[in-house]
Amino acid sequence: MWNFVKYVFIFNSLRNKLLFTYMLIILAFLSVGLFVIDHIGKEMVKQSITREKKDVLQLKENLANYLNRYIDLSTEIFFDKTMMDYLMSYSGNRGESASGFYTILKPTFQKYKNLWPEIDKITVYTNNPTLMSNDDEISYVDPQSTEWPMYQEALKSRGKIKWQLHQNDQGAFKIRLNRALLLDNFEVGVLSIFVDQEQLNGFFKENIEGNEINIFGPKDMVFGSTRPGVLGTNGLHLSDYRSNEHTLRITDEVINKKPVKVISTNMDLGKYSPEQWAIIKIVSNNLIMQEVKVTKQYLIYVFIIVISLVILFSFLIAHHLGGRMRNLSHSMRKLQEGNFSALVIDKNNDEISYLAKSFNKMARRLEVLVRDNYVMNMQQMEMEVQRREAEMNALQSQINPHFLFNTLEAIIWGVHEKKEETAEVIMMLANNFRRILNWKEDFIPLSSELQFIEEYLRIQKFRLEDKLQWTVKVDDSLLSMHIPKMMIQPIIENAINHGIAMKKGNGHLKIAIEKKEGFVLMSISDDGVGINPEKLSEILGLMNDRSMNTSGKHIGMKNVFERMKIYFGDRATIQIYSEAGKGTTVKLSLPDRTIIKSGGVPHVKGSNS
Amino acid sequence: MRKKVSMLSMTTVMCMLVLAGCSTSPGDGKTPAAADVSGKGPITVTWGSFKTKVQKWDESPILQALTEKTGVKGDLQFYGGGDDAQKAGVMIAGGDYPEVIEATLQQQKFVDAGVLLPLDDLIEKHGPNIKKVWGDSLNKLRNPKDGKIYFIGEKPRNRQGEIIDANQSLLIQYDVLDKLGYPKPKTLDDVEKMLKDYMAKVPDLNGKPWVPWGLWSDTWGYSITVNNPAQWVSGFMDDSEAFVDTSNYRVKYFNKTDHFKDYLKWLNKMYNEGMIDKNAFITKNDQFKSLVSSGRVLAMIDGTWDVADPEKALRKANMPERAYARFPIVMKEGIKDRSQVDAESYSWGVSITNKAKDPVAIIKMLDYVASQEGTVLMNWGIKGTHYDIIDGKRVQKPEVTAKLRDDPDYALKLALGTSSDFNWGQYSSEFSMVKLDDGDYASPNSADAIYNQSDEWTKKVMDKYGIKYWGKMFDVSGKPNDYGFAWTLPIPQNSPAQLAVTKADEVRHSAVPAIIASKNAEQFEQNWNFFMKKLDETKIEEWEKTMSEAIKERLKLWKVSK
Repeated sequence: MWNFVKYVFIFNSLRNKLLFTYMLIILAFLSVGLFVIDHIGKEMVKQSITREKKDVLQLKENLANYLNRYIDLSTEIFFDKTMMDYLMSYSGNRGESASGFYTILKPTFQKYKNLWPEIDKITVYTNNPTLMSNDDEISYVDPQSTEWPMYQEALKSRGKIKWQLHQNDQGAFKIRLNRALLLDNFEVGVLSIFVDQEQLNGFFKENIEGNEINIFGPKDMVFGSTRPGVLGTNGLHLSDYRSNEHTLRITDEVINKKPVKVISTNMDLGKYSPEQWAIIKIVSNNLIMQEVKVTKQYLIYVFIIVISLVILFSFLIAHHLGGRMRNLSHSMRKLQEGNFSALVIDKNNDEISYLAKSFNKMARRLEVLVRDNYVMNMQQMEMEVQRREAEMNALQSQINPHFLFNTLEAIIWGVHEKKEETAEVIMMLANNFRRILNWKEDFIPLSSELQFIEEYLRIQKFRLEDKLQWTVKVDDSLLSMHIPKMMIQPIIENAINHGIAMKKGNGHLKIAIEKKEGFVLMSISDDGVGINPEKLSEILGLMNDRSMNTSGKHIGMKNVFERMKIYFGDRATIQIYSEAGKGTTVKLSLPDRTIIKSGGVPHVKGSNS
Repeated sequence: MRKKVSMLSMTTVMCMLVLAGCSTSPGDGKTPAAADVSGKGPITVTWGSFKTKVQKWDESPILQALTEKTGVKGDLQFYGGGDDAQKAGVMIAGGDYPEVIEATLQQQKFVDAGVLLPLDDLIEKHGPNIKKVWGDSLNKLRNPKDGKIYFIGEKPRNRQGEIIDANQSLLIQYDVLDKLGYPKPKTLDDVEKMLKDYMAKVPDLNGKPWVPWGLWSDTWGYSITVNNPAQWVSGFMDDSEAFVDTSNYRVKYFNKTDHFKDYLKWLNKMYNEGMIDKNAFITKNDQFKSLVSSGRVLAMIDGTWDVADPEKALRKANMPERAYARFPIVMKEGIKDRSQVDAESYSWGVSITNKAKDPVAIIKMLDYVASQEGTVLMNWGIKGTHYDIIDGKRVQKPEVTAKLRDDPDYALKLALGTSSDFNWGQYSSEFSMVKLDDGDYASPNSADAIYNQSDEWTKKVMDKYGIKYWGKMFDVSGKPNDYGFAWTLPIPQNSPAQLAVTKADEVRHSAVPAIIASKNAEQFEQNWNFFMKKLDETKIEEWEKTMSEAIKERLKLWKVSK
């Protein structure tokens, strides 16, 4: 389990983690919900039993009130002395009894029937043969009458009420109240009040189909029932379930193989009606459960819908978030592979979109940085190559065969004429070559360069003799300044070879190096033949041509220029002034290197020049 | 989504179209005859009756046809059978009465209460058929107080034909006549002798004793089986409580007269000979009817309509010989029977109350019933269903005839003809034969038809007396009262006169049985005097005075000069 959790939390995707969390929440929700549903179900069962109890008690009260109406009515008649007198009267002329009928009996009963229209009939049964009877208000009974047993039974109970369920000729059931009428303890007749039994159905209106309400009169006879066809019988055998007290009794029973709750209560109708009535309600457990089931089902449906929605939404959210995260990580992986264009598109406005935006920003910045770095590297590489090339060119120029040839010629010539001087020149030449070969550093102190130039000039002087004069004027503070090696020599070589050597007569070379406003100005001027304008523009064009493929022409000048560009960029300038026949001046302007120490400029390692 | 919306609106439009189609359809097709109510379908009118018969509008094809013709449907309620006067009082006091009411004996209560609409203008504007059938008799419907018409009588009595049957008369079982060789009784003594002779021959009915003379005197039974018989045997028309001295139109309470006393003497004799049921004086109509239906009652003076149901029951119970022949009867020879002479006066009918929502529609419906077409519908029923046209004459279908004769409920449920509670304003009368403008009878009541409809026993008895219908037994040529029937005179409610007559009614119910049950002549006189004394205590002379004045007023209103 722990492994699973670990697996889920450590190894799985964000989406699955989210889903897992959601599922846990839903699980919790589900179990709480099921508990609640179960609880509601139980509560409903309790409530419906309580409700059934209340119903039965209400029914009992209503029914008692209803029956008491007729008991009260019978009591009123019972104490109606005028009527009792009439019923007791013996008239020799039978026709005289009509008077009492029309003035006492009929109007009294009519009044009651008007008050309670549900009363079907009020009849007084009498054994007085002198009274006229009409089987309506008044009816004569003798031992031959069908009503005789009822009459006798009612008389026996001495004014206490006897209830009957009576079926008339048309088969209709009537609830019948029988009560002996007494006058001074003398029996004068029996009063019967007939009420439509259907009136009791009014009490069953609220009953739900499937439940059963039975109203039992005396002797367990069914006076009212929701069950058809049991009226007037006592075959329901429900009296076993009858409560002995007047409080409610609830028992669980099985009737017709069905579990039911039997709620029963006895009903007392007061002192005039000692016979016990009872109400027995049979509530089907299934019906209660059905109700509960329906409610539960309803709740479960709601639950399922809610949970499905939650699951759906969590899936959507997880999918949505996971997708976006996957997008992001995918882009990151691409970025890792160097694809800067793999930007995340996320139009949302939340933490992830913030992340995505940040990622995009970062990628863009990274791209810029990488590109800058790369280009710079490339530039450096390129510069190094150019430097090497220039150096090689310089070297090449240094071992210019002309120079060597000329020098060697002069030396040969000198060997014959001035032996001492020649030896010195050879030594200087050797020095010169050694120096070139030994200068491993790109930068050399100005003093070294000047020394190299001195020796070079003296070698040239040896060759050109008096034709070459020079002056060097250097600001002493600049002697220790480091400058790129062989920076000045090629210019001087040009000045001698193309200026002074070509001139008839002596030539003079001036070298001046001075500080001026943060720059070091080097001026090399000769009074040689000069350069004609076409040539000058050709040279200047060559200088600006970045390509290195020069065919040996003006290599020296270009070399100087290229290297100045490499080391100082735009801060170094080279200017050439020339006038044909008058001479040429080359002016180099460098930043004041005295401020920068040697090595302040990156070197290219691994060069073995 | 857009597609869905348009689909929805499409269905809505279609629904609306369908609805529109539905709502327009009642306008065309079958249009009810009453133009004003067309397009709305029938209007339902609450329609109360103090009659006791119960029928349902929807169960009767004839009433449905009436609705189709007039656009009016009655929501029928019946109040009769209990204490009608009290019920009417409660209804008026509580304002709980229907739109149309047939108040019968309670008519005057409703008129006096002012809850009825005067019909004069409605009849003038919307009742051409009512005007035609009633003619000048409309005047006789007018309330004497304000001269307005508040009800349309059940039927106009201005075209008396031959009567088909008696209204109330002596009734004697066929078997009595049969066993005695078809004698024709003339006086009460003849009847008494016949009954005794018969009982000597036939001692009982399946072991049960005969009730030789039928009588029931609870409620209105007193009127038709005690009071009215006394008037008829005395040669009077039915003036109910009133005895009118035609020399001066003074009214006397009939029960105070010697005519009444003489009749009671005869009843007393019958009672003491055991010819009258001991309990008759408190018997109610239902019990009396069931007694008659048992076949044990040999003779009586009663409404022929009161024994109509028992006769049908007897025929159903296979005792057709226990049905009754009708005879005129008088106290002693020399008195001329006028029991079936009709006088034209009206005291009740159908009224429109102030609850009516559409009085015009109602009067139009009543007018249709009063038309000759309506008369045919109400009396003959629906052509092809209840009658056919044979040789240009309406002929009732034999199965309808048979059912009408044998099934007491058939005519009632069908609301057909004379058993219908809608027989007012018609050309025919229950008891007479009237021809319509088309030359044919207004109802199936024609001599031959009636004879043919009769069962074998009836035919046999009628054959013996040489008649084709019971009406022939009676001479209707007697002079009618020029004031109409006295009982149709309205007496103001709660007037001293009304109070007195109500009390008197209670007194006669209570006291008369003792007179009839007197054991000897001495006791009879005693009881009679007691009765007179009791009547005096009711101040019945107040009523007598009011009635006398009312008769004079009516004569003035009807322009009878004397």
